[in-house]
Order: sequence, then C-alpha cells, then structure tokens
Amino acid sequence: MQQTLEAPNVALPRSISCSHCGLPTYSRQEDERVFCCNGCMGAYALIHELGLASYYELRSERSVAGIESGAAQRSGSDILEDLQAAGVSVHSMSDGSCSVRLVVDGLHCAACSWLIERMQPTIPGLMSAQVRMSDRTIELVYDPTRTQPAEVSKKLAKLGYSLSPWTVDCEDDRAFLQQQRDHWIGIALAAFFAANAMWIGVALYAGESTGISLAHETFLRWVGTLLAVLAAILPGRIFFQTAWQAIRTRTPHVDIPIALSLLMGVVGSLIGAARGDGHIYFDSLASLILLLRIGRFIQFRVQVRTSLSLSRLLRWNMVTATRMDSSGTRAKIPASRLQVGDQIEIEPGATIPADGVVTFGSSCVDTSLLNGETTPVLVGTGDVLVGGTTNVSKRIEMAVTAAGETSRVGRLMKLVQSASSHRTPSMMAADRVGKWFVLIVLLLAALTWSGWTYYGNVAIATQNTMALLTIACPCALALAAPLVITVALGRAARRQIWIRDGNCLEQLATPGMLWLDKTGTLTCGKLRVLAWHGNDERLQLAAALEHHIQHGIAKAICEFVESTADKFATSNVIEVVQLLGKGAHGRVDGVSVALGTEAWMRETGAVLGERWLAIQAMALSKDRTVVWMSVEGEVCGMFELGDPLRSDAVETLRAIASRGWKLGILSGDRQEIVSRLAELLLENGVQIQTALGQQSPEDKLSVIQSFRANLEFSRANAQRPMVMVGDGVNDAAALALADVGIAIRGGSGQSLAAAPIFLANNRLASVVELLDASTNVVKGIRRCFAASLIYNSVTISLAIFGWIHPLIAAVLMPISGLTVLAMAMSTNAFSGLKSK
Amino acid sequence: MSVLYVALPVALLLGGSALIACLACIRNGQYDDLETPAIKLLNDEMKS
Repeated sequence: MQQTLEAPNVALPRSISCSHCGLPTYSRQEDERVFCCNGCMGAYALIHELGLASYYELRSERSVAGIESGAAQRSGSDILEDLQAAGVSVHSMSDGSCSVRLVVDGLHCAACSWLIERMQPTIPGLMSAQVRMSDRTIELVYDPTRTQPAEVSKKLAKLGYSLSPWTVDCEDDRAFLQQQRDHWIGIALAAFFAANAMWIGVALYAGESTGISLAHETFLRWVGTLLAVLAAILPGRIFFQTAWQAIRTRTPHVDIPIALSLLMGVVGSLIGAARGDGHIYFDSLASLILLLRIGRFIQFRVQVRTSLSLSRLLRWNMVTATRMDSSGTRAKIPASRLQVGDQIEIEPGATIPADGVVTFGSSCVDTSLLNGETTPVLVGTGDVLVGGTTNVSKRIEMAVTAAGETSRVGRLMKLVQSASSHRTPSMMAADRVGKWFVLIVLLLAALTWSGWTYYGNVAIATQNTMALLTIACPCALALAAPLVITVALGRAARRQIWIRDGNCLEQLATPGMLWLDKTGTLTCGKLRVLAWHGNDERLQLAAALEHHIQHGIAKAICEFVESTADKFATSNVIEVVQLLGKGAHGRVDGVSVALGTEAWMRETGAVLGERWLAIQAMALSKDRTVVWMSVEGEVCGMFELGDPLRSDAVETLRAIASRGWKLGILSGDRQEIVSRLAELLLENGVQIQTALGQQSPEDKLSVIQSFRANLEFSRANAQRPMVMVGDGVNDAAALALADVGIAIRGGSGQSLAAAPIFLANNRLASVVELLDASTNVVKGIRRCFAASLIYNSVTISLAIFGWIHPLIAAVLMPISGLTVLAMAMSTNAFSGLKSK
Repeated sequence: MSVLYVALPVALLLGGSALIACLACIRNGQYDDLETPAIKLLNDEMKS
C-alpha cells in the first residue's frame, strides 16, 4: 500500500501466473517473467544464480499452496537460532560435526526434495542435507564452527520452505526406525526360511509319488525341519513372546493359538523328522510364519501413521513470538515458552501466539480460524486477542493473559487430543470377536485332542489337533479388514482424500447424522461480490483504487471487476488513504474516488440519495456486506458482498440425504442467517433437520455430545454415526469427538490434523464419494469375513473329525490367505470413480 | 555319495549369502524410506 504513493504508473490488473509460484498476479514488469511479489522474484533470481533452473522443469505442478504456507511461516525459522530453547536435540558426531532432524514445511513433490538437496553445496559448512519424503523431514549434517541450522533455514526460507523443530523426540524417531528395521529383518528371514522349506517340501512330495531313496528323504526332512525350527526361533519369536505375556496377564489374545499352533508345528516337524514316516509340517510352518510377519508389518504401519499425524497436530505450538522486555530489547521465542504477563510484539501477517490484551496500536484481526467470521475484526488498545488468529494489517503490542495449554486454543487442542484417544466401538467389537475366536479354537482343540486320545491314540490326536490349529488360524480373518481398508485408503489418497483412520470407513457405511459447518464448508469461505448497482464504467475506477488496498473486500472487488471487464486501462492512482473498518479514497487519473461504508460516505462529504439507502436496506436484510462508491463526492454505485454457497453444495447435500442421512448445520454465524440458509436449502429439496447458529467451539462439542447421548439412548440407533464436516479451529474439537470428522480444505492445519479424514481436493462432493466407498468397504470386509468364516467352520469341522490330512491343511492355509487377499484387492472402493 | 549332499548346502549357502546382504542393507537404513530414493533417481536422470 505504501509504495503506491510513489508509484504513479501501474499497469493494472491482468491475470497472469507468477513465474515462480504460479499464483495469478497483476503484471508489474514488461518482461516475459512476471512475479506476484518481491519474495517470488528473489526466489527466482536465487534459484537461477545457483544454477538450479531445472527446478522449474522438474516440478510436477505449480505448488501454490506450498509457497503460500512457506511464506506465512517464514518467521518461524528464527526459532532455530537458539536450538536449546526450541527443544531440538543435536547429535554430535565423532568427527566434530553435528546432525539434527527438522520438519520441512512446503514440501510437495520431487522437485522440492531435489532443490533442497542441491542447496547443500552452496552453503559452506553444510555437509549433507537429506530429505525424507515419507515424513516430510530433513536431516542436516553440518560443521558447527562454520554454519548453524538457522543459516540453512534462512536460505531455505528464501525458496519458500520453512524448517521447524521436530516435536516428537529424536529418541522416538530412532525407536521407530529400529522397529521398522526389525520388521523388515523379520520378513526377510521368514521369507528365506519359507522359500527354502517350500522347495525342500516340493522335493519330498515329488519323491512320494515318483519314489525316493530313504537316505535322501531323511536328509531332506531334517534340513527342512531345521529351517522351520529356525524360522520359529528367529522371526517367529515375537508370537511366542506376546502369547507368553498374554498368558501371564490372563487375557485371551489372538497370538495364543498362533503360538500354540507354531509350537505344535515345531514339535510335529521334529517328531516327523525323527520317526521318518510322519507327515510333513515344516513347509507350512515356515510359510505360516512369513504370512504372520507380513500381517504384523501392515498393522505396525497403520499404527505409525496414526501417531505421526498426532505429532503433526502438536506442532501448532511451534509458532514463534517476539517478546519484549522492559528495556525494549526483542527476542524470538517459541510460543510454548510464553508466560502470563509477557509483552509481545505482533507483526502484520503473523499468527497471534497466545491469548492477551492489546497494549499498543490498532489493527485488523482475521478470526476466521476461530469462529468462521470472514470479515476481519478491528481491534485497538484494551481489546482482547485470542491465540491462533491472524494479525492482518498493522504492528501491535500485546500483554499475554494465557499461553500454551491454558489459552483458548490450547484448551481446544487438549480436547482434540483426548477425543483422538477414544477407542471406536468397531475396534472394541473386533477385539471381542478376536478373543472369542481364540477361546473357541482353544476349546475345540482341547476337545479334539481328548476325544481322539480316548477313541484313538495320542499320535492321531496330535496330528488332528495340529491340523485344526493350523487351519483355524485366524490370520485370514485378521488380515481381511486391514487389507480392504488399506486398499481403499490408497485409492482415496489418489483422489486427494486423506484418511488417517481406517475405522472411519467402516462407520460411514451406516447412515446417521451429518453435521456441517457453514462458513468455508457449505460456503466458499471468502467474500465475493454478489451484485453491483451502478454504471459498469465506474468499475474501472473502483478496481484501480481497490488494487492498492490490502483487504479481503478490496480483493473481492478486484476479482469481480476482473471477471466482468475485458481489459484494464492504465490508471494513475495517488493519495491513497485507507481507514480500517471504514473505507478508502484516492485520486484515480485525477478523479477523487471513495469506497466504503455509509459512514465513510458521509465523512467524505458525499450526498446519500434515498434510492441508495433503499438498496442498502435490501442488501442488509439479505445479510450482505455493502460497499458504497462515490466519485467526486457523488454516490455512483454500490457493491453487495457475501459468502456464496459452494456450487456443488445443494447437489451434494441432496445426494447425502438420498442415502438416508439426516443433515444438521452447526455454525458460528448468527441464528437468522443459519435459519435462512436452511429455508433456502429446503426450497431446493434438501431437508435440514437441525440448523443451529451462534455456536462457539465448545457449544458445537456439547451439541454433538448430547445428540450422541440421545442416539445411544434409543438402542435401535446405536450404530448410527455422528459425522461432522467442517474446517477451522472452532471445529477441531467437534471434528475429533464426532464418530467421523471430515475436514475440508480452506481450514487451518489443526482441523486437518484433528479430523481423521481430510478432503484435500476441496470438493464437498467428495463426501458423497466417501460414503459410497465406505459402503463398498464394509461390503468387501463382510465378504472376506464370510469367506473366512465359511472356510474356518468347514475346515475346522473336517479337522475335528480327522478328515483333513495335515498336508491338505498346509496347502489350504495359504490358499485361503491368498483368496482373502484377492477379494480384498478387488473391493470396489473408490474404483468406480475416475482418478484426477 | 549323492550330489544332493553337496548341492543342497551350497544352495542354502548361496541363498543365505543373499539373505545376509539383504539384512546388511536393512541395518544400513536402505529400507527406512522407500519413497524418496525412487524420486531421486528420476531427478538425476533429468539433470544429465
């Protein structure tokens, strides 16, 4: 805004993509390269200077969001100046260098990791910079005498990436890596033993039909048995360990029959090898261990994904604050270290790090993060600020009244955390079924063994019991649900629907109650010009003036004019004055133009005609924001602004309702607005059951709680899930507490982390895709379960009566596993939709 | 003496050495991140 006073010749809006970040911009250069801001121009120049221009060819998409978020958090890099204070653990190497692991924000595609790693030789003292895409972190190895992470961070910040401390302890990170390696090692070992045991087994089977010398047979048998016993001892050890723990704590666990079966397999193999005439168990034992280890690995990955997203949630605390002491010196510290009574300074564009009271200055604050309010609020000395909101226009000072966990956002975050740790009913049901399965199988095994010992002999009893325990292995049953869900999660991710918790898919399959936030969820979440009263020629003047104002309304007017007019004349804009909360005026090509509220018009000396006041009254009754326009002191037009419904909103809601869901609206907006919206939707054939306005974040939480209590009271509805669709911090707790929370883009990072489902494609219609996919997932799981149960009950009965040869059991076992795998892969979740 | 008594241990040794190589790779951290290396390969291809 300030540079416009000295820059009289400005080429006016023409939407071109910025050469660096791809954002639509207004050309400020005659060159073919165009930049939206000095930051992008600097980054472009820097990239070329370093000889890294192929970045622009490599990047897969114009990663607009990354540059934006990078810029917003750029100030965060200062936090690395004091590593100790930021809680970063530095590992000193034997050669004097240090290594740290930091989180990179703004990392999107191959080009980003390439660019960051190519930066390394250009920074003296930085020995290596390794990006890990899977968890968006970077490991820096540097010479502490020559450079510091803060230096690297500053350089990367120029490219739009920001580094922040990794809140999960480095120790945790190492423990995770070690566990993952243990899993890989287990799988590798188990695969080796299984493959070798299998070909030895094939040799023996072949020998049975074509004839084999006794010496060869004994030799092969012993080698195979040795391999299987090693498999049980090395990769199979974990099952014995968990089973032993379960026995000691007297809790039925799926690992008990597995361990028992493995044990009997080991004993059976050894007896068979010793007697030389028994049946062959060792190959099925080894392949069983391999399949079980793979199942364990899948489980482990699912757990890690959940805990990783929780650690991202905690990263909110990494916002920085500038603290001022009594002598006026400023220090950057992490927001989590702020204390009550601290004086802090907040730059325009920064996130307010704690709750407090303004002590100096006045500014506009964007509270959309907290209450969905789209219009920035004017604050002055003595006004209360809430942490998590954004300071929009001017530098202010603030005294902290609550920080960290005691602040409003901190308390919300705590709610989110506790809600995240709730176990879902389906998880508990799965546990119960697992326990019963274990008990029944053990009981049947005992009956089989005693029955056959009584009527037959111990050898036959052992053989039949082992066949039973092997064939009744619940691994097909246990693998089915995770597999179907994993497949669905992968396919969903390709459609930019990120699902953190697979259980959501199960829950969304039953129609229940779906709550929607209004601002940003049903609506676009941003002000747009809905109507213009006046002569179209005047629009050019309005755009010329508003182009120099940094305000949501000004932006909306610029966009509107851009979409209606073909091209823009070059205008000479001088004497721009902006008054917060009122309006702006300036001289465009020598003509005095003013835009703003009714009060602003009176102040600038315009005469307000009855006609205009009537238009304003009409607009206000529809709850729209009005911007007056006057030229040379004469009112000549009026803009009506509002936050329109998403274009796919009505269609989506109709589709959701047609699938048997009940709809509700929970909004922070005024009740009249919400009621009017519900009426509007009813006219379009969408029945809204409950439309509640004026809901604070805490209110939303209690509404969901009380509705859930009602649902559970009527037992018939106990299975019906409560779903919340929303964005913003105000929805975070509700998103987490609802059975299924769906966050939609446009909200803050917190809500994305809080909700188990995130629609990164920013399409409300994806909710319908999700519901359909969930139905298919549940159908798929049921099919797998049914197949597995039929298989189990048939084979178990056969085994009990001794009609199953343990050889057939060994062949059937992997076949049943493979069948379940094939059925899981063919589940029709998300596959009917075209990938974008 | 049958060739089986030589061939089978040799086969297991060959397989075992591959297994040991694989375990060494895992311990070395080569399996820690299966996403980035695939991307890096592409990058260097394009650079040359």
